[in-house]
Amino acid sequence: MSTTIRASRTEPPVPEAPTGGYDDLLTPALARCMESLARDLPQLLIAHPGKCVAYVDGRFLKIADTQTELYVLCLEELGLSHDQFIVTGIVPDAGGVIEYHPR
Amino acid sequence: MPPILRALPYSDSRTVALVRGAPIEVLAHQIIVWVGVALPHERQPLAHAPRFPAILDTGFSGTFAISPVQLERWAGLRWNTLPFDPTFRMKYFGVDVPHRRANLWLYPNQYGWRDCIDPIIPPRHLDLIGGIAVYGDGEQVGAAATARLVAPRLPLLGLRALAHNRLQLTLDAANREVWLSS
Repeated sequence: MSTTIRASRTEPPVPEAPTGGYDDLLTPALARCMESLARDLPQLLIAHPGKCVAYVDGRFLKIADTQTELYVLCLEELGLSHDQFIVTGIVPDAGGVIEYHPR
Repeated sequence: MPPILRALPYSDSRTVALVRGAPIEVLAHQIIVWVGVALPHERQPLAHAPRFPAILDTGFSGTFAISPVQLERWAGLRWNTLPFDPTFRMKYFGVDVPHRRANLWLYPNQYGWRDCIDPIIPPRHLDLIGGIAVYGDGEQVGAAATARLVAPRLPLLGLRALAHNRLQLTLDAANREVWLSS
């Protein structure tokens, strides 16, 4: 069975290098975005629950109805790379940990 | 907007689904839906985009989980070409599993059929907060400890994915049918 490996239509796939730990994956720009999200989330939950939000290099960018439109804005319109911004939903546990124990 | 899943049946015994011609065993009382992986900024499914079965698992706390091998064989994507998504992490048996930026296409079924996709109704785009979890098959997908995680036997679609997309799930256990609508 042959398999075609699809790539992003805007950039070639760049396989991620193995890392020693989870936090090694967090670039400084992403870390700043996560700090800003944690700071703003209580207010966002009051003002825009269920919407989506984007941060670039730690700075608030925009709120929208869907993540996809924010990804389009960041990747296609602003030409950002994935390690410069975050997009997430405005939900109580955004930025948090999902516990899963199947047994 | 028409319902996405209409009288989608599930069985009280083992059944088989065909994925790219290969038989996949489905256990009793597992709800199978057909999905495709969407890149984060993908607004339309690619022509002839691959689709594959996933278990609609109401006990799964995440959005979507899949093994690296199934992601590559069934969706045509290598796990490490999907960008890291820091906005959620899954702690699976105490190990942090990085999420990957991706969304899903959920394919409507033909009324009363599990594995027949409706050719008229377009697939529904599911915005996945935090993306998807990819782990298992001996792959180190982040921290070294992820290499020893056991993958889900089939991909899992959790209620978290349905909630953010404001979908209504109806489960008729008496008749073993599932409905899903906006």
